[in-house]
Amino acid sequence: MAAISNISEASSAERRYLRWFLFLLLAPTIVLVLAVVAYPFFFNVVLSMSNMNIYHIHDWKVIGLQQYAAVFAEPRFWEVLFKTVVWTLVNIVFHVTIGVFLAVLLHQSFVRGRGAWRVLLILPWALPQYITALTWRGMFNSQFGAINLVLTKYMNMPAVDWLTSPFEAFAAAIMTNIWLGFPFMMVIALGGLQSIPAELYEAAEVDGASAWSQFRNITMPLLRPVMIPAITLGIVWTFNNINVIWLVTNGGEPNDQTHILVSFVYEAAFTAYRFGWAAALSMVIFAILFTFTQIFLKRTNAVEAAY
Amino acid sequence: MNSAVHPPARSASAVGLCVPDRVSDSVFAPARLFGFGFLLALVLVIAGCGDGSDVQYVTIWHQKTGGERAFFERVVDEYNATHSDHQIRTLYRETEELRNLFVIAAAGGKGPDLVFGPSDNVSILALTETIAPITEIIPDEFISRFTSEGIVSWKEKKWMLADQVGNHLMFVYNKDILPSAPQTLGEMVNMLDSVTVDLDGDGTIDRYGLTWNYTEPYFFIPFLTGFGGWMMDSEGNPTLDTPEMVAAVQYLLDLRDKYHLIPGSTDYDTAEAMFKTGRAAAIINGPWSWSGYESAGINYGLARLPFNEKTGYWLSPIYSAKGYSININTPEEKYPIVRSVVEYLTGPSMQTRMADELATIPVVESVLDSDAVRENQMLQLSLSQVESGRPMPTQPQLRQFWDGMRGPYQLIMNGAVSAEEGARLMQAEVEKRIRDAFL
Amino acid sequence: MADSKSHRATLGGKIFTYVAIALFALISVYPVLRIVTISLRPGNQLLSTSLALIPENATLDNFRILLTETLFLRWLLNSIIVSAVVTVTGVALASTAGYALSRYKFVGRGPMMSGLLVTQMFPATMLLLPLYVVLIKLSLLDSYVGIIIIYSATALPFTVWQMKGYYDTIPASLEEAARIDGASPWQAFRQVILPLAAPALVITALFSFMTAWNEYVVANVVLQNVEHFTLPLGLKMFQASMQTQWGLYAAGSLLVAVPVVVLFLVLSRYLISGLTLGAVKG
Repeated sequence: MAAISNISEASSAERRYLRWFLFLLLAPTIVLVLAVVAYPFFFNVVLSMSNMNIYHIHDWKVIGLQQYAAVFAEPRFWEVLFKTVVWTLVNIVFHVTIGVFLAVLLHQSFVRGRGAWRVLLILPWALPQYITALTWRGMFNSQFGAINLVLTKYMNMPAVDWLTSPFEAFAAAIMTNIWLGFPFMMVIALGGLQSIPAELYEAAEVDGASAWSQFRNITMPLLRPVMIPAITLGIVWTFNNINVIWLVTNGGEPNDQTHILVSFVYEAAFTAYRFGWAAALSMVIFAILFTFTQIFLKRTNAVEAAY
Repeated sequence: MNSAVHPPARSASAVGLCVPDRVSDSVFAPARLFGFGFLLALVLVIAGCGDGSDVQYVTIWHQKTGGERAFFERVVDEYNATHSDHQIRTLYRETEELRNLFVIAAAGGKGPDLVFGPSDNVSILALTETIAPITEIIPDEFISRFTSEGIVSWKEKKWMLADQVGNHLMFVYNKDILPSAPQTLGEMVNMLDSVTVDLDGDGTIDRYGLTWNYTEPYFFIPFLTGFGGWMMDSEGNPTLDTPEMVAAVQYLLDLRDKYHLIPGSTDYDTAEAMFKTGRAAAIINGPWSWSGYESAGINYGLARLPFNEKTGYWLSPIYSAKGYSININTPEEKYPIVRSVVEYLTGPSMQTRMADELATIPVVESVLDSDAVRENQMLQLSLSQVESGRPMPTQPQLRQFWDGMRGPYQLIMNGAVSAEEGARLMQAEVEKRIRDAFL
Repeated sequence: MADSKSHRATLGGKIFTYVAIALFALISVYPVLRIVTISLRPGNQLLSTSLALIPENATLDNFRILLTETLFLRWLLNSIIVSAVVTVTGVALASTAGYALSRYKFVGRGPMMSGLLVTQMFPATMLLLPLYVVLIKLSLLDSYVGIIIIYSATALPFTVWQMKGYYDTIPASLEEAARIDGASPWQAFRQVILPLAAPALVITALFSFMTAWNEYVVANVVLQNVEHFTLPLGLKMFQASMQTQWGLYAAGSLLVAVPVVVLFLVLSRYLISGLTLGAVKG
């Protein structure tokens, strides 16, 4: 119902006017995005079929699909893909749950000092990731880190070797990224909550609906149109977010067991200068995310109006 | 207003768009709309517009840090103050980024005129055809004054002129805990044992004898060489799965698990913090770290890494030259001024000053033989370490060695694999990476 | 504002709310306090066994050095300009494009929506090489024009989607009423719908600003003169693989967060003036 104008139904003068109107609304965005993305994308497609590496940086040529074969032949590919999926899912689930939870709590009218709470809660988003991720690495340090100091001094628990065991190091990176990511989802949800008319809750109260059922039946469905784009893109960004895991685990420690797919791209391109292979892996990542988002958007029906 | 906001040093080149004053006024008029035009105009002004003067710039990207960076900026200012037709402009970048950004920039036909970095970059830059041999610009009589370490060659061409050799790891000890440094490994174990203690009696060790970075294989090399091993043969093939390697790794594991003289796990920052807070009596670290110990108030001493009396080898760290290379895109008409800059920054008088103020090891014969250098105690200590050190290999596959050794080294130091397994993993990992690099 | 569901909030519910918010606020703030500690610590140390907030021999030297001996203020100005332009561009383009996608059915609407998403799916590292080549060809190296275009294009896909999602929640009957009163489509959008979308505009502005404010990888390749650096690039100059100047790095990061917090404080006034308020007024 929100898509009010179906252009083909309008009269011809109005149709012409609407065409222009639409064009002016959309053209700047389309031009800008295409200008930045189109050429690099096609360049990459070509690169992924080439032999460009440190030995052929100027005289590279197209060699076919060998680099793709090499990507899938890489013995660690599937393992790292699995880790990437775990990384993405765990992060997003926590980002959204914590973000929406806090937004709903803050939205209640009796909460005092709302502005101050909000600012405290967005701090993880406000500081540059480069320093916060390294601070978390410091906090996970086995001898000097705040986390182990609290565990051993106040809780009488044994120190955990956070950064030197593969599972713990991966968990440490995920915890850091959850901390970094929930304020964004909270802000989105706070914005979304504003569009829900209070009358709906009043009516529900008259019917005697519990807080939980109000959340299930009013808040969730009405928050959806605002959250779906954030979640979709959150998944894409987290899948490709090299910074946090790289900084927290110092580039894959221990023993390269805390990598996600993009850190392979980075390593291949910039420590081994295997540009062809890195481009092919980028295309594979692209294909994975493309397939995923198509399915996700179809199932959530996000392109169409929500209600 | 345009000129008022102009930065003092205007860029003559490399600017996107230049707006003469009167045009920016016209940009100004409709600018009330969102203030957008105003901001855009500011952007253009801030980005700096060419003022048409013909001062030429020699740009240098470097990775000098700490006291060395401060010194470098000072001598560059001195140079700029005495030259009016050309100026030096510098840009710091972290070592790895410096190399990557330089390769991207130079492959695209741009980049700085000069790039300063460690010698292990040279073969990669030469292989990617992003630098030109220094002999194109610097005359032979200048180059001939350098020691062999000061000229970095690869495939029979000279690619880099150094202003120092360094990056050599040494034995650094806290004199308040450890009165003197050990000469041999046997001595080391005894001395460290006497200072490794459980101070509060809670059953855990509060102060270790020695610590170092367990995550970078660079810090493992002295042990490998101390047991007679080396990373590669003369062709650059890995020689990591050898009895020497196993013996070296086993020695480290014994230090940790049998004698309990080194901590169970550390990385670079942890090792630094342990030494600076007195939780470790000694540390293995390089010249970049020493001034930090002084400012942390540690009464520290430097010593050559010990001798392995069982094998007859010194523990030999790697040392590397650091110096300048010339971008392949530097236009020929700039050669004279680039030459003048390189000769200023690497010449005998500069190296004398550096040796004096920074205690870096000079690579010009006359400076190395000078009295000032002979009488500088710290420098002589460094020199004795470099004498028993090994030069940084120049092969381009060196990166694959570091990357391939890193993971297994971490596994070994975490106690996850045995010495034999660690050696086997290193060899396999490096071989795979070298193979992969060709695709 | 009238939010009646909480009128019924029980005491238990209130306590739970405050405890939960306070707990998460603590979790948010604690690591930031560690950064404060590092920035106050003398002798450039990252690690220490002390949990004290104010370290021994605390000093403000790092802040003093940062503000007087480095180009920090210059970088701050550069960053503010770049981020402001990106924010204005982002709000202008996303609010219009999002509106078109929400309200009109036209050929290519679906592909355009997913096309926007597609641009985010490529690992950014691989875009560097070709982007660099393009910027050289357009002689936009070391220029803010180049990075502003790139940042705007980076932020737009999300902000357009976000705006579109928010417009979807605004009943179309509002414009229909305006159109019947004789407003043009532009007037209906500008005077009726846009004011109602204030919370989404805030998010769009904040997101565009943050994209430009914290971006590092592209700026690192494009900007080549230390006087033109943006803040993240400037801060990274204090970092080296084994010799990071932790004190300066930490102090700088805290100061970098200040404008963001201020911006958020200013914008959050509009974050709460939503549909209900607007509907009453309109």
